[in-house]
Amino acid sequence: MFFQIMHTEWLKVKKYRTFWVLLGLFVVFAISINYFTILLMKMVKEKSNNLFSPLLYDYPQVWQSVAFTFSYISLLLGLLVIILISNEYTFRTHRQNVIDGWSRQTFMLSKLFWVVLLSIGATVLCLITGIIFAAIFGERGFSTENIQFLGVYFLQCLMSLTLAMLIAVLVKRSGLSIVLYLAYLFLENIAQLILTKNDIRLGRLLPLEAADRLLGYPFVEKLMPDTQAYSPWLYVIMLVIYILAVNYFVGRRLLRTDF
Amino acid sequence: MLLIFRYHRSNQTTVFLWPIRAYTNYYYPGNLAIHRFNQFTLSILSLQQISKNYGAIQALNAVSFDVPNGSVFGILGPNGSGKTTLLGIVTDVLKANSGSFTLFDQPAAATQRRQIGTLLETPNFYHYLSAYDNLTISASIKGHGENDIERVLKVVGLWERKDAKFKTYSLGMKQRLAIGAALLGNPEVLVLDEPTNGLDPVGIAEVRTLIRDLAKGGKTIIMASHLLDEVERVCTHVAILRKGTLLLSGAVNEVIQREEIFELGAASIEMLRRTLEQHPGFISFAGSNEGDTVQAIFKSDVNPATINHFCAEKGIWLNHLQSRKKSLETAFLELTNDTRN
Repeated sequence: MFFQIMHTEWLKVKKYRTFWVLLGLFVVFAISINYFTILLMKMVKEKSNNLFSPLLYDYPQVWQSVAFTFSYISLLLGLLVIILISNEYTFRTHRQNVIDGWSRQTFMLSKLFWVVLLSIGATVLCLITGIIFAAIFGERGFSTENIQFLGVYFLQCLMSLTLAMLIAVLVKRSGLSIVLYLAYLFLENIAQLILTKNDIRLGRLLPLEAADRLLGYPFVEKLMPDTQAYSPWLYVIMLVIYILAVNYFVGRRLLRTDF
Repeated sequence: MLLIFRYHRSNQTTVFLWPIRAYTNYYYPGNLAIHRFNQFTLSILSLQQISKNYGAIQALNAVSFDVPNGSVFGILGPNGSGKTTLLGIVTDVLKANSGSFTLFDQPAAATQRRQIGTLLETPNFYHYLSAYDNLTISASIKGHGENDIERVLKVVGLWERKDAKFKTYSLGMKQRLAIGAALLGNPEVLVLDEPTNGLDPVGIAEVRTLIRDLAKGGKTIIMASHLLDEVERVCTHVAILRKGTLLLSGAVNEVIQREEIFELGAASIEMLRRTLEQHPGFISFAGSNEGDTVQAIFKSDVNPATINHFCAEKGIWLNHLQSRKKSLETAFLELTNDTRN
């Protein structure tokens, strides 16, 4: 069944220009955001007369740096997930897929497939970007120390794409889903800022914030460490709970409601 | 045979059908979920007490009927009677509030839907893909290769336009493509919901011919329509719905008394009327019966020759005799109106 899902989903996207444009944009943004970080790093070094010399793209720091920069553009993949799901509702092909012989579970898995595949793809791209940037701009030899940040990035991706899937399944229309998705990213940030300002630690456990806290802030966190941080494992546990809970809710909805 | 015999013996109380089922299962051991359609399947679809409501609106009210193998089953009813809702439940795009149904004598599941070609309501395809590419997706979900796509596109007359994107198609072409998708893999069972929607007169005639040919080929066709003449000529069985309630179902000739209407004329209308009333098959007069002809309703086994002979024996010489078989539409309208009243 897994092969059939893969094959069918491939047929849906292989000639879908929007999909490839967005995916291409993600790759371009992924490389450029890291390149701009290097320019910024050089500028900081020059302006501070070599007082600050952050070695962001040297091993073992590079893994956190690329994971951190990639986390800002995961939303592009979120848009992709929204478009792929809302297309099914717009064209009513979600009905046709079921009429043609997919169970509702299979339809759900076909959407989860994209969430997982895009997360894996982004993590692999993150790994490759890390290796290339460290080879070009770093001075130290290869090290797998801190490579767990790639795992953290994978979780961050899964979290944001799962949220995108939830919104698309609930809203069904692409435009409104995208607006709500971006609004959520913004509002969660605001909520977290307000909670932190008022010394309420719980803001750190909001879905996207938990992933951000786990990724940390390269260089900056050394200057301004988070004194009220939770254990990294708590962030991981919360993320896993969020991802499973959202998927359970989406699954329940797809299985029980009218298409 | 041994297996069938043993199975039968270990189930003393089972009816005659059980050995047939055992035979079916014997050929697909350990995989009963993938119950393949075959000639031994007796009931293609069996509905038991299906109810569905949208909020306060009762779309279906405890509907039960069986679709026998090889039948052309018409689900008839006016707009909003619950036809599409019923087929939506059968295809699992809608969830019934209560009741159950079986496909191919098995509890309904996705694997059985793959053996049914379905056109439900509107054509649903990816707008950015061509007709051919859209059918590759349907074929992939059904677990077929792409080798049947050329045949079905030729059947529905879209082969020349196979590479054009779906969004460039006219309404009629979209409908043809949907019919083509339903024919993919040459399924033994077809579910067609208003198949001539959006087609021009030529297209309508072509689809009717296609349905008739498929029916002649022994396929089971479940067709929902509010266009009664569309199903009249091909329907062997019928279920009539009104406001979600099943008015009747069964073989057409059994459930609908299709009486004969004759229009007759004679030199003396008054004498003619009195004579016709004496005929054993006479039911009533119809219409206003003014002017120089009279309309009379007879039982369905009465033919023009017997009436002519009967009148001649009574000394009435007919100068006009025309048979007008009561159409399904008339029967249907009467039925739905009776219930309304």
